[in-house]
Amino acid sequence: MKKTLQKKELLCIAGLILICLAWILWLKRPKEHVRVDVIHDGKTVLEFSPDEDAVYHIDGDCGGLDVEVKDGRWHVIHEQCPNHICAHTGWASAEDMIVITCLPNDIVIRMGEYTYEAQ
Amino acid sequence: MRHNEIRRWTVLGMLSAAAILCNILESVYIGPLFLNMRIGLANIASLIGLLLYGKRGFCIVSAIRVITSPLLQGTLFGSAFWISLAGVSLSVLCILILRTERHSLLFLSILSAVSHSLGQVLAVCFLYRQAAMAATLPYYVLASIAAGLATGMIASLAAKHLKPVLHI
Repeated sequence: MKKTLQKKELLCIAGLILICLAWILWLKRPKEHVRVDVIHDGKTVLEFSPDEDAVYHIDGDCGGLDVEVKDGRWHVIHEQCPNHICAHTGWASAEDMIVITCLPNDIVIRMGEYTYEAQ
Repeated sequence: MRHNEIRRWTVLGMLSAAAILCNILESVYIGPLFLNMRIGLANIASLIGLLLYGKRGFCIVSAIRVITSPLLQGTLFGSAFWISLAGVSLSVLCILILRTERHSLLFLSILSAVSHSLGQVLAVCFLYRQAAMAATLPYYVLASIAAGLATGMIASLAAKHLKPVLHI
């Protein structure tokens, strides 16, 4: 086994990094009329607009969780699950398109439909 | 011959125990750093297995860890177990396909970490019927490259010190 990274390997890693950065830039392109879907057990149980500040409660398999919407962003609070990964995920917004998942509660919070801003 | 065989299985057993310990310590004390991403400290033991005993060493340590760790944490056959199994399976498959003697450990470590993340994201997409989870993939891949680099460097350093002690 070789000891250090070879030229071909470095190029391969650099290519992978460039693809990821391009993908992130594409995900972060401006969007308008964003809708967020909350899915439990494969069904959409709540839809909300991130433009309206609010706190929503969603029932889940482990007791459920609350979603706080503020200044166009949303995050999980008061989660009742053993590992708290959903709360650790932090704030999500239309720009970063982060999907918040709570596996014990079988809840997924993700971006729904949206349109793009005219460039 | 028999002596060597006993030594090999003893070392692989110790590496598996180290991997399980790292996995549990990381789950309990460190937790996810960014999104749901973990460093993957247990992969250090698998990589040492790869350095000392080749592909077989990597597969044995990874397989024992992925089954025993959730068994000890009480999460065996839960959703997290299947997601973890998908990640480890793709990572092992990746190492099995590659001609490891032609590549550096750092590259193999990065590739293993990236394929692990890819397997986990695919498992979540499949289990929860959420194709949108693929949007997190570029973040996971970038974090995996950094994590793979770190674990590869630690494994290389550890194996360097272990080889003379274990007479390999």
